[in-house]
Formats: sequence, structure tokens, C-alpha cells
Amino acid sequence: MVRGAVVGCGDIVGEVHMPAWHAIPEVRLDAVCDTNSERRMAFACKHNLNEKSYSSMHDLLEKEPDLNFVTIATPGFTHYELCREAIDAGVHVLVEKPLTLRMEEALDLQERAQKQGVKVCVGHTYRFREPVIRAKEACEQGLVGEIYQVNVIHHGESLFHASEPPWRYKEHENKVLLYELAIHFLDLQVYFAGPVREILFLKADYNPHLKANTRVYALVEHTSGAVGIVDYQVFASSNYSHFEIFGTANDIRIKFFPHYYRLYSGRINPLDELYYDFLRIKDFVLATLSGRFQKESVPRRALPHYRLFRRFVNSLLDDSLPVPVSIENVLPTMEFLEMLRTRIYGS
Amino acid sequence: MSFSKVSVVKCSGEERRTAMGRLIHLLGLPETAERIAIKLNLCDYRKWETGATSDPKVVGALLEVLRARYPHAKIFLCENDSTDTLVENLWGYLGIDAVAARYDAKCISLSKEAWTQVPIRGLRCSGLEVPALFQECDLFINHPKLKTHGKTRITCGLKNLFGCYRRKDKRPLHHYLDEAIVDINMAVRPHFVIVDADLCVEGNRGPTQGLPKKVELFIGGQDSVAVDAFCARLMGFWPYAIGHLRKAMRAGLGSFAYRLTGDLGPECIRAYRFQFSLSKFLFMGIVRRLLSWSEAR
Repeated sequence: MVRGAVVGCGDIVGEVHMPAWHAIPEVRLDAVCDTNSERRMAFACKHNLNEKSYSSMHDLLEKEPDLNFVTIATPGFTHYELCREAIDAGVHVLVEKPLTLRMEEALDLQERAQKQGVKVCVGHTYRFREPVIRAKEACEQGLVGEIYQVNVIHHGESLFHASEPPWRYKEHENKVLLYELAIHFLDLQVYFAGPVREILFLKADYNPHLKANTRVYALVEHTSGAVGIVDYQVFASSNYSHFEIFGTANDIRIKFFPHYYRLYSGRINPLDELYYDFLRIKDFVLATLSGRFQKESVPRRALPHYRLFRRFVNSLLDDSLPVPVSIENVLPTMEFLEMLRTRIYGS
Repeated sequence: MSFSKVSVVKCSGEERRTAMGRLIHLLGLPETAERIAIKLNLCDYRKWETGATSDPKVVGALLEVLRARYPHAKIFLCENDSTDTLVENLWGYLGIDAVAARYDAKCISLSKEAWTQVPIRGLRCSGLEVPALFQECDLFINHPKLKTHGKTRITCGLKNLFGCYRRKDKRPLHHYLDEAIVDINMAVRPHFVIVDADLCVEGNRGPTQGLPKKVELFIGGQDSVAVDAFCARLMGFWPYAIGHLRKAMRAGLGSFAYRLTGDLGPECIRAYRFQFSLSKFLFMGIVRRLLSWSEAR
């Protein structure tokens, strides 16, 4: 049994993290920490943590000395400080993406974690989505051949939705576009094509009325020689999410919301296209209906988190197992983000 | 039976300002006004060419006519935050602030203004908070766009005031949307409705994701229900089939009986029929009910 604490209890934690944690019998989450007392009390009340609710990481670590790990799901710009405190106290950490907003902070955390012998896992949950898992397996089996191009296309909606916390309204200040939204797809790009060597072309649109960067287009070259195309937009006219991997043997196309995975080769047959779209809709409808009408141990939405948390817990229970997404794993993504950040937001 | 007056003018081949001037003349606006509030329709980050939001050129035409008629009046362009938007940045994004500046009008983000409680005998509630500005002004114009709506079939004058609910997150109100629309219309009573039916939206993905449709009409009246009933007929719907319209009429907010004045006779309206799939609408209604029923279980 491992004992953990929740740091930050926003909507995603309540709706996605908690069902995933509850599905892991070896975990006992029995403390909560959040600076917003109203939200913290409501969360503590719901999960019977009233007597172990804290307003700061310092109090949490001081009063709960036998914690095995903390799961940090606060705004990205707070991650560095919170991770540092936990690592210095010798507590394992599972931190939501982004690890930090700066490369030097990530390297500092890596060094501290090594010194303390602490495991740090970063919550890049898109790596654990079903089509991405299938695509990775296909790549590892050599079905794709050598990857020479990766395309990321995501056209999303408003940043000012009522369900978003107010700090996400301040896009420019908190670098929301890059570090909270595009990071999912940029991480996948690095996950498949490897580290980025150079940004060949970059255009970012800043909208002064919205005080936000709304579009990023980039053409990048990976160290493997593959090229990557990034087209990430918010406030787009229509919503669209597409991830494509082109290899010397086969191509992979992944769509999100709802999921779709397909390995392509040769000529594209329109009947085949229709059939795969039919499968995509069928899977979505069946999964939605089964999710609503059957009591599932892990809700569909929480499955990627569950897969990540499960492996993180396994690594805590068995010291020889690595964490599923370590700091070393995400450094190439951090480096890519750093390259984009300095050119989009300035240093 | 008393008939409400609904005025319609064509704006095709004619300058928008002239058409708007003729409509204002037909409506018979008061001779004097010191404080004028105009509720626009800025419901999403979608530019005017999508038909989903107020067209700055039409707003400009309305302001020009009002400014000429009331040279010393204070004119306020008003909108509230919606679930997806912050109005403070929509003014610039949609180009409304430039038009407002040209005619010495002020853009008002209602969420930042004072609100006042109004008692009503509503279908769902007995009192609602409404913007104090609407109570204080001596001329309040509701200025909606004419669009289809995937859930209520049409959105026009009555539905435009749904944006006057104070809360930003209006999703919970969509569970009883028809009643919520009627209640807010009991609390907020515009003196005139002026519908921008120049560039409209059709299809089941309205009000924001539908297809733009050029209609080239300005429609106005004092009775919101009558104006909406006419607009529903123009779009090809039977007004009794529109839930919020039927409920508003029954709640005494207005009448379906109207008398047309202006450029359009009742015989011409068939030409304007909007695309809208009834089967898709009914199917989606069943799916929505099924999902909300399963959520409630």
C-alpha cells in the first residue's frame, strides 16, 4: 500500500484523477492541499479528508511525514516550486504536464530528484490514449519503417469557457497556448519523431483584443532528420484534431475526439475510408452508451490517466521498475517548448 | 383581437443606413431619449461574416440613425459574458468598438456593471437579477441576429435576452431552456426589437456553427413575441412549434397576431425559407433526453 496526497483539487482532479486513483487498490489518498479554501473543503468533504486538508505544500509535508507520494495538479506555473518542495522532503512526485515552464527548472528538478533518490513522473497522459498506444506499438514493430514526417493539426475553441479556471484566461502571462494546450500534441510529436534540432519556420499570431496567442504554425527538423509540421490554433472556425505519422513503410493517422487510429499504405480506397469512419462512430457510440449504462471500474475519460497512474504506482511498489514518464523522457519535449517559447513569448 | 405591428424593410441594393432609417421611421421611436441601451448579439468568437454575431456595419447603420435622431443621447452597446466568451475582448475582436467610437457610443460589458433584482412570476423562478442599466435607460433596443438553433429551432429577439442571465456558465439553464428564455423576458422588457436579418444563419448547427444565409431584411417591432413569430414563419417554422415562443405567448409576453408594414407582404415570405432538418432536430432531441436521463440515474 502506498500513501499519497492530492495537491490542487480543480475540476480535472475531481472528474478524471480521482476515478483513476480509486481504481488502484494499492493507493490510499488521504490528504489534500489547495490554496483555495472553499474548493479544498468541498473536495475534502466529498472524499472524507476533512481532517487532513492543508492550504500549503509546506504544511502538508510537515504534518504528513509518512507520505509516499504527492500528485500535483495545479496550474503549470506553480509546478516548479511545488515539485521542488516535495522532492527536497524526499517524497515521490507525480506532476501534471507541464513539468515546468523553463528548461533550467526542469534540469534543477532532475538533479534534486537524483540526489534525493526520489521518483518524478510527468503526467503526459496523451501517450496513454488508445490510438497513441497502438501507433507506438506499430512503430516499435517496424510497421511504419523510418519516420520522415510528423504532422500535428489541432484547431480548438475558446480559451474563455466557463469551466476553465480564471488563470487560463491569461494566456500570454501563463503561456497557456504552449504549456497547457499544445503541449499534448508537441509531446506526441517528440515522442514519435525524437528531439527537435531546429525550428525552420515559425509564425505565431497574437491577438491584442483577446490578449492571447491564438495560432502557432511551425516547421521543424528533428535530430532524426524527420520534419514536423505544427498547426495549433484556438478560437478556430471549426474544431479539428489530427495527428499524422509518415514512414517509409506505412503511414499512421490518428484523430481525437472521438478516437481513430489507422495504418495506411498504398492507394486510399473510399470504401475503406467509409468503413473506418463507421468503425470510429460505432466505437464512440458503444463506449458512450456502455459508459453511461454500465458501472465501469474506470470511466472511459479517465483511462489514459489510469494507465499512467497504474504504472507509476507499480514503480513505487517495485523499485526496479522505472516511472512511465520520467523527467529524462520529457526533457526533449521541454527543449522543444523552450525553443518555441523564446520565439513566441520572448525570453 | 389586437394585432401587434411588425415592420420589415429590405436592405438589398440599398444603403444599410437608409434601410435602417426607414425601419426606425416605421417603428415610431420616441421623439426624445437621453439614455439608450442596445443589447447586441455577440455570443461567440465568430466574425460577422459567419452570420453568428452582430455585424459592425449594421450596428453602425443603427447607431448613425439613432445619433441623427438623438444627437445628445448617451448610447450604450451592451453584451454579457457567455459560457465561452469574455465580452471585454469581444468588442475589439469583432470590430464593434471602432463603430461605437465613430458614433460616440459606449461599449458596456454587463458582467462588470451593476445588477438589480427584479421580482417576476416566472415559469421557473420568482425573481431574477438583471442589468440595472436596462431599468435606468429611457430607450432599450434589443438587437438580435436571425439564426436557426439546434435546440430551440430559432433564435431571435426572445432568445437574445437569454444572454442577460448574470451567470457566465449558462449550460445548466439549457436543461430548461424554453422556460429560462421566458423568465428572462419577463424580467428584461425591451422597448423595441430590431432584428438584423441581413446575413443570417441556417442549418441545424446554428446559432454559431451553422451556414450563413443572405436574407437582406431588417425586421422590427415593439412586441418581441410578434416579431419572433413573424421571423419563425419567415424561416419556415410554425410559431406554435417553437417551445419558447409558445410559452412566451401563453405567459402574456406578446401575441402571435401581427400586422405587417413595410416592404414585405405575407405572400412573399416563402422565398426566405431557411434550411433546417426536422428529422435531425428530433433525433438530436431524443439523444439529448436519453443522455440527460442517464445522467440523472
